Amino acid sequence: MVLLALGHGVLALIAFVMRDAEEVRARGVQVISLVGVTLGAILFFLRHSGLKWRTLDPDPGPTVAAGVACACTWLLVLSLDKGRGRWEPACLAGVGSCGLVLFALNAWAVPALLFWWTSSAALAAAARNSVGRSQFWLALAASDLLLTAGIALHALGEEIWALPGGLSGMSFWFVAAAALVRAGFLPRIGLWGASDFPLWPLLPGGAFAIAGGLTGREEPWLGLAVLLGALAIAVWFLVRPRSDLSFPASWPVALMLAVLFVVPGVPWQASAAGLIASTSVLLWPIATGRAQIERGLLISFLPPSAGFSAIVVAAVATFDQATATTDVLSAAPWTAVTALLPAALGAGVILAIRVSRRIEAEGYEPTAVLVTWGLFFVSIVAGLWPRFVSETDGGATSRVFVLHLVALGAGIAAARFVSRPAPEKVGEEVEPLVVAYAPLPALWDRTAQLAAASVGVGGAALALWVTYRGLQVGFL
Amino acid sequence: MAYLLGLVPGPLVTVVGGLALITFGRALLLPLLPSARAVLSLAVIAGAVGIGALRWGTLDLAELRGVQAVLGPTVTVGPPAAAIACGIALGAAVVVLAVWFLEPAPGDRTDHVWGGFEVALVALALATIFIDPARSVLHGAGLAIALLEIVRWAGVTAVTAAVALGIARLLRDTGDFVRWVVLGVAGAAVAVAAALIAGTL
Repeated sequence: MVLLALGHGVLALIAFVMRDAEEVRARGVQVISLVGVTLGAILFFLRHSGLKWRTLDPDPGPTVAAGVACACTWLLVLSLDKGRGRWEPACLAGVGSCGLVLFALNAWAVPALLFWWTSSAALAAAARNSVGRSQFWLALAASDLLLTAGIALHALGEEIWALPGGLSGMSFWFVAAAALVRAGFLPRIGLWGASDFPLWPLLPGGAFAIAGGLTGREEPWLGLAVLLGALAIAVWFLVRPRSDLSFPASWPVALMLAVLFVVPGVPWQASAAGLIASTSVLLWPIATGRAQIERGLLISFLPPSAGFSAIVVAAVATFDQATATTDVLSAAPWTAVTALLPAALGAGVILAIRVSRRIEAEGYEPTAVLVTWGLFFVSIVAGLWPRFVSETDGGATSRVFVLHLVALGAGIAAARFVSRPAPEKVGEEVEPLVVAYAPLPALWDRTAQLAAASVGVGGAALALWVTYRGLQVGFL
Repeated sequence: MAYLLGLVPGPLVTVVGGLALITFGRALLLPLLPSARAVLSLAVIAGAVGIGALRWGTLDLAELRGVQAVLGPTVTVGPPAAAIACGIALGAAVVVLAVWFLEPAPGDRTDHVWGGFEVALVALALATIFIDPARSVLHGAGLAIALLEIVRWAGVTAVTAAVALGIARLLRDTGDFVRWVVLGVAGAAVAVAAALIAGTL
């Protein structure tokens, strides 16, 4: 566990040491990235291990979010580097990943908060050259302040220094808001001001770690609101003439967060699917004209992908809740979510078609295309193990697994032997992909920076105050 | 199909997911607006089967089959409002299935065969949820009884598919506007059915 927790930090150190070794740096970044992906994957597989180390006591939900987010981050470092051997993104990815893992696995409020802020510092530094860094910093600081306030309210109010499985009262709402801001729930603004650096998956990774651990209670109204927001994102993307990257990238995260808010015990597929789909969209600008159908299928959550399992579990759970009560007001949000989840599946299909059928110029990095294919493969494999069959019926799981394998084999055979030539793509002109954002006007930019600094300092001060109070009562 | 035939256990949502996957494959051949029509058709069908599930308070396919084996097909079991709601939902789903089949319109014989198979699959889902004729769930039934039940099941499915294909034949030469109107009316009918079934809970 200590290796998995601190391994990313060691990789950051190695990247830093390599900064002057120009002849081996490109190869070094590749090796470091692959080791980082491996560390993230191992953490994912050890989610139920129960291994503890000092303040670390892993809970499966946040552990999966942290492991997958780190793996996706290192994949982006590998893809965006393009063989140039840039040591700085690798170094910051190591620091950020280390901070997120130590936050997600921590059982105690004070160290968790300190590691969270470490991860945020790495993210803030990584975005410093982006055009929209001001609004990025402001949103980042806001999410940090909200999380710190939520944990501080719980820890100081209850005099309990262990992180709870599910917060209540105002603490819950602060932390839920932190998760939404951290996830980049609203496209185009806030964190989406800067999405051109490889540490981005750490942001939704943090959101999923929060939603899978700290919030941990059913909130159907919040889930309904987030689900409606996700559908609005999908519709907005479909009606806009130009493809704005932030819409398809925030859609899977918003949908899977909605699932986590209505069914906190939903399987790990929710956070894994959200992160994988979002990462594949972030790779899009350097994989244009390639892996289009794979990218489309990843954001559609169609079977047998990992996200489909999460949607099925959520649909069954919300349906049971809706039919279990006769009180109309209590049943209303559950019924609405149950009805909207198939609609979300339909929206995913149209999104997938829009992405798959885009006419775009070919301009791709082979690594990015390979990584997209790899993510697609992982998503399918993860979806082969169903999570929607009875846990008491062991044979049922095996039968559904075999069915999925047979269906996958039949699909591959059909594609290989009975496929026809692809039809002409509809449209005449190459559709532009919006990835760069117009900078804010100077006054707004300055104001946003000032606000980000104020909120950041306020949040950091609050975190230090919680640390001081914690040390004062001797929680360690 | 394996879920619908009871070869593997699972909830109704898995069937909707399978239909969504088929719709994705069909819509890859279409421009955006007909794609949207195909997906909206799927949404109406999903809503209709959801009403069938709501009638019995379960999404589990085995339970849906089991309860009909005891009480009779969903569309024939009272209270009257529930039976009427399920009948409306079934009718709307069959009509919309015709629209779904036409997106894209089949060209050669292979298209017709594949399209017919896919329509039969949706018809099987509708038959299983609304008009499952099986009086036993086959477990422990003798060979003759089992064969009879399977033939009845296949027959109901074939009739449902044939009705949908017949409507598709009528709609084939109409323009986009008529298909949108049909889709809108069917969607409204499903909404009315949902309101009716909600009143009986």
